Amino acid sequence: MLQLSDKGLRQLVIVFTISLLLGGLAILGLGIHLIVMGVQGTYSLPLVLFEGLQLAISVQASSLGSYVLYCLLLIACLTLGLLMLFLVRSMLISLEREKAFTQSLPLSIKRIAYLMLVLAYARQLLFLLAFQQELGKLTEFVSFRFQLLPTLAVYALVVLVFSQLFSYGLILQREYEQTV
Amino acid sequence: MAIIIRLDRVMADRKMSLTELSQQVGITLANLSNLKTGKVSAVRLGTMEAICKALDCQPGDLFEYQEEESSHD
Repeated sequence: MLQLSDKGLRQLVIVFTISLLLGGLAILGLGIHLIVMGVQGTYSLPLVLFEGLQLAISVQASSLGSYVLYCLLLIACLTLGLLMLFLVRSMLISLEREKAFTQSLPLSIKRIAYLMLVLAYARQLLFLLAFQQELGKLTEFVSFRFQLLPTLAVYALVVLVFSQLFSYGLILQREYEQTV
Repeated sequence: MAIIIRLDRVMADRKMSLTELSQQVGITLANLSNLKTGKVSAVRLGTMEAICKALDCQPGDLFEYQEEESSHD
């Protein structure tokens, strides 16, 4: 069974804290970049591909409306990812402090699952918006088909089942503790 | 809870202290205190057997059922 020492947990918390700070700064920077682009009138959309955010390969938005919508959705997706990191960090802090499974653990797992579910469909919408723009030669390399049940949504459902199992485990643990 | 634990009454009848009982039964003082105050949700048959043996009583002497009054009245 995998057991993390206090030191290991603390190091993981530090890594997650740094990731959160860097991620927050990156989103802030991207937000400013997108606003500047919008003000300048060059509605250049950064694409989110499988390798990550591609600023070099950009697509021209057809109108200001679609540019704003895409940018808002992009920032929302990235913020959701950051929120998931935050929840994992709070789970690690809870494990570090209380050294046992607490009520907050399945709750955090459940929240992560719901965030993953929202993120799965928000990403689909983001791709859909991007592929409605004029892609030019990019269509030769990338393609998109809307999926009713994306892979991330399946993962989210699995995580949701895990959170239910954790909740049941907590009930059993409480019953055991209250039995003399 | 509708189940009232009469452990304190039986202990008083037998003039036995909580510490003495916990030593005879083999459970911690904290757990026995929780049982006495009704803060537990279940009692093992093994624990019941040990308590009944130590106090020379029947399980029915330790528990009493009282119907709870409805709060909708």
